Amino acid sequence: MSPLDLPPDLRTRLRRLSITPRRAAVIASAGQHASRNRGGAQEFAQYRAYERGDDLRQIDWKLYARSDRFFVRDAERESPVTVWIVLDASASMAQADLKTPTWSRFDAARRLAAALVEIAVNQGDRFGLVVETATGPMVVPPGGGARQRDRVLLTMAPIQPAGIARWDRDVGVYGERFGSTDVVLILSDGFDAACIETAERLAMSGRDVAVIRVLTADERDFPFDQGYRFVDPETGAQLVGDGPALRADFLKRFAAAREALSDRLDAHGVRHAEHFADRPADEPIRALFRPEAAR
Amino acid sequence: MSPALLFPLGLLALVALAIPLVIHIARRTESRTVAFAALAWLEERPKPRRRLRLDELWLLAARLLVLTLLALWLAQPVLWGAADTRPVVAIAPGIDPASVEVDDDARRVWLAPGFPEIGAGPAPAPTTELVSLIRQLDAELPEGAPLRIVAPAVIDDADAQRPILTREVDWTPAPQTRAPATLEAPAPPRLTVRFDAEGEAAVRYLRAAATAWADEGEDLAFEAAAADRPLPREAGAIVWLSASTPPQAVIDRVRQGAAILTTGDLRLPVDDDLRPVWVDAEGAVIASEGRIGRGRAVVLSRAPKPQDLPALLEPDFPDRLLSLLAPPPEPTRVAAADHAPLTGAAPYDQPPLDLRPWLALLIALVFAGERWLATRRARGPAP
Repeated sequence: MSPLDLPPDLRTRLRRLSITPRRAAVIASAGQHASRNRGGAQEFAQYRAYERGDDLRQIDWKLYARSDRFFVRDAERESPVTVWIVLDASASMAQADLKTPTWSRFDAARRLAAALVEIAVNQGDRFGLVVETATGPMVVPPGGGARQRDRVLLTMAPIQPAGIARWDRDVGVYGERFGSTDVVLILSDGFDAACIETAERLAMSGRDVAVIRVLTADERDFPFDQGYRFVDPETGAQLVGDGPALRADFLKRFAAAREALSDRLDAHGVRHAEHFADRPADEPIRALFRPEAAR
Repeated sequence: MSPALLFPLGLLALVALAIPLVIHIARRTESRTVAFAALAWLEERPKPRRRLRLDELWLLAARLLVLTLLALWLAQPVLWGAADTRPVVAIAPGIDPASVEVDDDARRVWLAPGFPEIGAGPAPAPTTELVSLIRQLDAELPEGAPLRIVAPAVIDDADAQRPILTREVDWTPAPQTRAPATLEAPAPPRLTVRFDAEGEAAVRYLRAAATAWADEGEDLAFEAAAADRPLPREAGAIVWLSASTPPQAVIDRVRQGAAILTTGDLRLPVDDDLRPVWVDAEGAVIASEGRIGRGRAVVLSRAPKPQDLPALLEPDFPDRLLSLLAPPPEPTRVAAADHAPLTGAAPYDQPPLDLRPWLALLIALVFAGERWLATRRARGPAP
């Protein structure tokens, strides 16, 4: 089960979803977003043969004079919205569930990223990718179309989550790369305080930031029915304990922590959703970009 | 039927039950490591609650069962009174089993060593120890098992008395099919006398006895000579009438199967103590007998003179002498109808049924099940 190949039913559901920025887009004319900027400069892309229904004004008459054929100037239009997908690749993302040891949190996050890319391609938005690894961010500059999608997927495919991500070190890179109106989607477990701070700083600088917290089913259900040695993959801290004895207290404290984090993100204007590794990838996207009226 | 243990100390092996228990308990907590990024929200308890829990209960149960059965096996379990009390029909070899009507539930065995079941194999050869086998069969059968014996019409190896068994036996001799073979009486032995001057007086009595043995018109089987004369080759009954000890050649002849009659306290190399064989009316011993190799030595306690041994003059002296030198065989042939066993012997204790072979089979089965549980593919690596 590759995380980058979306199952057909998920693909079908994704077609009905969209990535909507908080504010109406201010540039561009194409795409589904309302724009104030009409008739702007368009970058030449290619000539193509005239087809019925094309606007006569788009025919290149000079070329017609030379070749006695109708050609239409095709222009590549700048999409008004750039979607940045930020993928956390620290060691904690490698955690897998007891029941599904081959499906890690990082796999779920990559599938989520692939689903977001699919939506962005569908609605004609530009999108870029940043993978936050222990050695620094890997950046795929924004672009659009199927080729950009393949580029993003190819970048994500070989990555193995390891080490400790240095969000505080890399926040400057984000500031340089991300435009002030871009949509930034951070896919992380959210256990790292620096990650949350990065999201808050980006949000404070006016960018449209959303955090999708990817949690495992074990963190939701705590199904450990016997004694285990729990190891934090990033710090190496260990805790030996009996699963059933720890369960109730953990669930209570973890729920409180998630609630506190949600409040904190809300307070900074960061949109957020939770995604569990054993759930379909469209659920957090739907929750995140629900129309305001439905909230 | 009552079960019992012949060696209850074997149950001490039950201590070994602790081994699989320890194996299945010890692999609890510590060793299983799991990555858990949300460790910050796990509260470490000062003393984690440790319940006694066991892995793979079915495998543990199988192992405990194997060990329990092994301990039981060591304790040698037996079952008293589990013997077969079906009626038994014992048929002597040589009798056609089809001619004997038997109830369906009865067990039919040959009256042969090992008591093989009839029909399970070839009929054994006729035995010469019929009465001994009857006693053995009676002793081996549990109390209350009816016994019917189909004996041949004539028993050739009967004891001196009717066998005394522990139970009432249905004694059914087979009808006589052919006349028993007639036996010839053995011929009297040739009497070889060696004497010295002192013993010469007795030779005439011996010659008279030998004359009495011989049938009319037969040659006299008698030879008398001085003590230093060698023995003839066929000498089967030697009378040594000399005060000197018989030479080694004579002793060797006796060792090879001859009988020797001597007087007085000659030092004969008798194998065991002499036992009296001829006692007079007053109870005084006249003759004693002992074995020398395969032969016999008869020692007269008195000199063979009429004044010392008046029996020399008795008319039954030849018969007496013949029975001393060549005792007639014991009568062993009897009609089976007259040799029905008596009852009255004390019953024998039957050995208990040993349960260990069956227990070993059960152990093997359970062990196979344990191996299957322990090696099946769905199983994890632990214990």
